[in-house]
Amino acid sequence: MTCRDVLPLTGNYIDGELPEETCDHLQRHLLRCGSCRAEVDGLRMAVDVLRAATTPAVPSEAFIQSALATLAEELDIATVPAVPPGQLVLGIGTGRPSAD
Amino acid sequence: MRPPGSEDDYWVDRVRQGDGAAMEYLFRRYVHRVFGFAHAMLRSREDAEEVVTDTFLRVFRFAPELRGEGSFEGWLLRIARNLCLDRLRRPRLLTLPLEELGEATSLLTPVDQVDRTALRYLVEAALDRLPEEYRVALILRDVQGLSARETAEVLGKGETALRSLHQRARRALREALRALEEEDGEAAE
Repeated sequence: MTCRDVLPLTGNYIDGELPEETCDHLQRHLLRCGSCRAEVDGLRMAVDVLRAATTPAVPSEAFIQSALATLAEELDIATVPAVPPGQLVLGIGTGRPSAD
Repeated sequence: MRPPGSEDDYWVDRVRQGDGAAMEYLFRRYVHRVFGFAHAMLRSREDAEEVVTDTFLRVFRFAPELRGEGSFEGWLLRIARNLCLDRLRRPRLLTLPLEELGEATSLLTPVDQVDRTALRYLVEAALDRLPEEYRVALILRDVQGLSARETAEVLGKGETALRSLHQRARRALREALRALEEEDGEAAE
């Protein structure tokens, strides 16, 4: 495997998406090629920093309730009595189409 | 994400018939994904909330056939992405001054030892230097954890093209982080 072969695969390598055999070849190349090793390390560091700095934000329950009220009003949909989400899923699950 | 014709279509149809429980079911099922994406793009809880509400309004109003190929979730995120980009193209009243990076960390410092706020500012400043398409790909793939196929669907690209775009986006992010670190070092001298 040459540097030209390795560069397009670095993203999949970082994500652990390479087939085992290809991964082995790539790792053997990294052992003897400082340039490709630096490429992989730099990309991995950028991705780690991105993930560490940007934890997905979570919507508040107050917003969810408010948005549902807005949607119901805008779409002219009758609101349903508030029930816990778990019960709601079970309740409307009875009307699902079959898998056939 | 689910394939077209999945049970999501059934629930959308129920919403269009005025079923409030179906609307709440679909909203709660996907609100975290759409909100997380919009917040990462806009960095404002208030703006993200408005985008979420507008996104679901459009989805429930538009006829399902307008969705075209792809999953319900992909359609939702495509609409949210367009709404986010519309907002980002408006004149911005508040921008993050780079001076706020202050003592932002070195990339060589272990992530768990640095000030998280400074790290966030650093990453936000780096993301601001990237093309919109790169930002969307990075947020969907690396922050929200969508697969390449799912991200390709949101961006309207083939999977191979998306993988190439994502690779370029990661390299651009790395270069932007390095540039910011160098500028920060020069400013400190």
